[in-house]
Amino acid sequence: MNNVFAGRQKLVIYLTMIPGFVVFCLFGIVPSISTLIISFTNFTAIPGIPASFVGVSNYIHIFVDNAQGVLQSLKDTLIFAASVTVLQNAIALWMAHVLTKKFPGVKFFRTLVFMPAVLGVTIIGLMWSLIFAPSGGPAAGILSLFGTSSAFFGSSRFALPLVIFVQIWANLGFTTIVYIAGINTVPVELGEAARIDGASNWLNFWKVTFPMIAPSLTVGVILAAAGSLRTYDLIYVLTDGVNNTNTLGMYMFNTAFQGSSNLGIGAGIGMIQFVLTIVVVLALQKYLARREEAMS
Amino acid sequence: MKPIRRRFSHDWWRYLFTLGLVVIILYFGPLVFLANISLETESQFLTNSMSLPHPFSWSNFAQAWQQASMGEYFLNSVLYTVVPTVIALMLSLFLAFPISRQYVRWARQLHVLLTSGMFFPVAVIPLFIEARMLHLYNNRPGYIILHIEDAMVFGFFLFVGYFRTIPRELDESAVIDGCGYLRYLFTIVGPLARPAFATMGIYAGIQIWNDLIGPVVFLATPSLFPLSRGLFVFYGTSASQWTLLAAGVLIAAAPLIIAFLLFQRYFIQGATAGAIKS
Amino acid sequence: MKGKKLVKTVAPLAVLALASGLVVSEVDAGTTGNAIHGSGNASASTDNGPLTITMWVNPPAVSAVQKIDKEFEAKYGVKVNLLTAANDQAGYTTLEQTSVQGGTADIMAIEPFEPMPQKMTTDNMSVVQEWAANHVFAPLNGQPWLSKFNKNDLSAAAYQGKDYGLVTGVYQTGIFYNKAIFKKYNLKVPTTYAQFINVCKTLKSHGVTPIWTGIGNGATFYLEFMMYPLMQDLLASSLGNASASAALAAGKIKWTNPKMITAFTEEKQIASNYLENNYAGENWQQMPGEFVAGKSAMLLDGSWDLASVLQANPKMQIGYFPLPGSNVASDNNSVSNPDLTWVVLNNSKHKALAEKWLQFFSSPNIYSQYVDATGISPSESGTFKSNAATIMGKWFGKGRVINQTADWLIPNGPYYLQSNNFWSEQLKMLQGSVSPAKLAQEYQQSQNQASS
Repeated sequence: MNNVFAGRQKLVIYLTMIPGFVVFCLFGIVPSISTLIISFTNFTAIPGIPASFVGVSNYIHIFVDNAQGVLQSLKDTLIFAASVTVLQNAIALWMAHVLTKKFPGVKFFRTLVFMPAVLGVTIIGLMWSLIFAPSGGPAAGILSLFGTSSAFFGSSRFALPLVIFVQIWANLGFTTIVYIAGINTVPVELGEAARIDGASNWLNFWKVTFPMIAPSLTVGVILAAAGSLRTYDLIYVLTDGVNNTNTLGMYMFNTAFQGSSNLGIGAGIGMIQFVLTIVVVLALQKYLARREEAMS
Repeated sequence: MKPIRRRFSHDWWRYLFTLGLVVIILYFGPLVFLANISLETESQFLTNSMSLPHPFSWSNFAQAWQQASMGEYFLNSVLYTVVPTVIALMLSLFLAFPISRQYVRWARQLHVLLTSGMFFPVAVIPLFIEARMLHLYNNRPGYIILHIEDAMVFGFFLFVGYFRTIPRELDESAVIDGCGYLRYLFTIVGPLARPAFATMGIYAGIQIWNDLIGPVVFLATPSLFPLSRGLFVFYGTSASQWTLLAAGVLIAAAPLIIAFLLFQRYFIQGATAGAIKS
Repeated sequence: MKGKKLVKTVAPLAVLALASGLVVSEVDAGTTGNAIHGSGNASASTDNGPLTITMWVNPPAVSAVQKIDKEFEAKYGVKVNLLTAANDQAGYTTLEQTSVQGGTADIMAIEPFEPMPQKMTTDNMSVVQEWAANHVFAPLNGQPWLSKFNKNDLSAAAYQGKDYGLVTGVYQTGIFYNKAIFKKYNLKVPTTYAQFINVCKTLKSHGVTPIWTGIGNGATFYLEFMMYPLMQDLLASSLGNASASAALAAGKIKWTNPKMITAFTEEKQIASNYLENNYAGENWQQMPGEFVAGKSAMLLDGSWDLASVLQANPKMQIGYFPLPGSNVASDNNSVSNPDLTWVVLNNSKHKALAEKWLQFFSSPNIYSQYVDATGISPSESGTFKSNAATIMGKWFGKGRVINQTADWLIPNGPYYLQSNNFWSEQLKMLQGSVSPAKLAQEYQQSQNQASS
């Protein structure tokens, strides 16, 4: 297209684009490429120690010497991501279904469910740590009514389910919004017609509305999957990766920055996480796109 | 049909009861719990934490504010949020306008490249190495610079779409009137794109404000910490003083909740636009 | 314009050249940026600080050091900053790392790093060990106060003939008991494992929680309070007072040794019957408080928490005995570990001032303040009195030495020899999903991998 600005003004356009582009290259492109490069070096976080290329030895370390660590971490990651993706979308669908009805306080409830999105991981993590404290916390109080108790985040059995719960709690509002937007595009007459045929409310939703919001389902599922495969900041606050919550992101962070300071191995774990995320997301995308086509 | 049935959905009371109960318990409950213990005295908390505070002990808030040096952290957070957000907003405006108008060479390719920035892998390790190389480690300007890119790419994505809604004829008449590019951008396009700016600013700003991994990796000196890490440090050092901790968490949450209630619309727009990002 | 300056600074760096050049240039940046400040020996008289000290949170020690800092400030007219963080991975470990990386501290508290691994590689050394081996710490040889300290204790922070740290003293772990409760139920201090279990049983039958400990919020490694003494006592018949930690690391004792399995079994018996419910989630920082509040008859903890207990209730009558692992009383002993160690960072800009602070710290009247406030068993020669010495009586300062970071732990080593995995798996054994024998096998498997 022709540029309406000419001469000196044209130069101004180019000049003003430079800073943004430099920032993009330096802090967008370079880091994304260099994770791979760093994974072939023995970088440490210790100042003054020379680094050099070490070939694939970091990957040998991860997959051979420490196979158990990466397997455990893969297991934790997959349980975490699969549970979060499935549950978060299922609950959000239900919430969106209800929140698109008209009843008193519906706006207030929407606001409330969405609120955690602004609170951030520190506040959310500390809040739930207090709630799930084994003595003195309200969750322990409720359990004691049933004559039982738990170590919550300290238990190797319950820590992961609880982390999954908090992750869903924090992101549910967002997924719900995606579905609400989807449901709002479905023509009202369709639902009305089905109700006249005597379909129950839920069946009505399942048979009529749900197939219509296939694109929203794609967005909701992909986002939850990609997000939960990559995230680790909430886990960092809640358990720091102990008790079967050592997802790949957490594993990478701990290897690079805590306890050990091996950036090379950390970058290798980061690459595994990246590849896993890409593979899962692409597979899901392909499947869901085919499903969308079948629905329409 | 009676008017009330028209205003509310069929069986509205059932929705109100089931969903309302779940949401209130899970989403309002935790805040109420925090508020409750933040107003209790230490001894009351130890004897019966679940009962209502009696007497009300407001001093926890003052003590938490002081003991966690929240004032200092708060100022850092404001600085770290406002400055990179504003810079990112400018930079993405400079990139998005000419690219959306295809006023530059390779506009289509640049568009694809910059949008793909939203899908780049999390690269905290290389960024850490880079930060040390470029002397951006453990100082305020560095921390600010490190947070520009993310917000900028998001802004770019948002603005490119928005500028399409501004008619091209406006550019042409501006040029005919002899208005320069920068003046045009700031006095005509800027005001028109205010909703997009607000969406980008609110959403990106809150992301930066809440970042915890960033300050853990890029900052070392406590006086440079933002509130997110300051609060986490406070948790580590005073985990046995729940009443203070609850007050601290509430102090940190209050501005966010207020901002959210005021700018909810922009924030939700930002979140939906950033959908493909996350 | 805002962007201009940025452009000037970064534009010459071509993007791809940078990506591939990253490896080489990082090394330069690392050295110029951080390591070569060795010449920072500005004479202390003209150096007005501020001096920055980092240490982990142990409330009595922190307040003792704060007081010492005040006196130092008053005497020399310089400013001292004290940075603290919780003693866990997300807290102090991060503060240590960032202090070294950012060159933001002058004096840093570390845990002693000896013994170093036999074959040293970046994979098998802890971060602190790597620092010690890579001249991150300034050698303190020749400092006038050095000779006042016990050579044996100092050796915990010495490497290749260089003394890198002032080891402030030795702590012990074991059982602190509430004398009033013991008296009420007519209990005697147990000297064997069987007696100990009987004491617990009696308490439990009266509805009293026998022992309190807390390993929640990232302190799973505090399971060492049980594991170390139990195994040391059980292995005493073959090892005497030698370190079981070293023997395990060297392969002289196998993890699958029946004595080790007994130790794990005892640990499980104690944990699942006599610790408070949900010890695995109880915040470790709260345990002194819970003990003072009377929630249990005994506290399984390190002597560093004794001062917190006494601060919360100075009148509480407390006794101490080592957690007995063996049924032969003479085999049972306390375990001890050299603890908080001050090092001066090599890239400090106030090195002379930092050395002056260490000298001040070790002057007898200041050091005795520290010993008294923390209850640490002193490593400086001389007579020091503290409440801890009175309470712990004949056990004070005694015991078999085992570092908190035990010899067999290898940061990037075989799976179960990594600290997090080692303790997580042990917790699983205590919570019942892995048997003691299976645990021993898993540990041994990793150990074999390490020595091959």
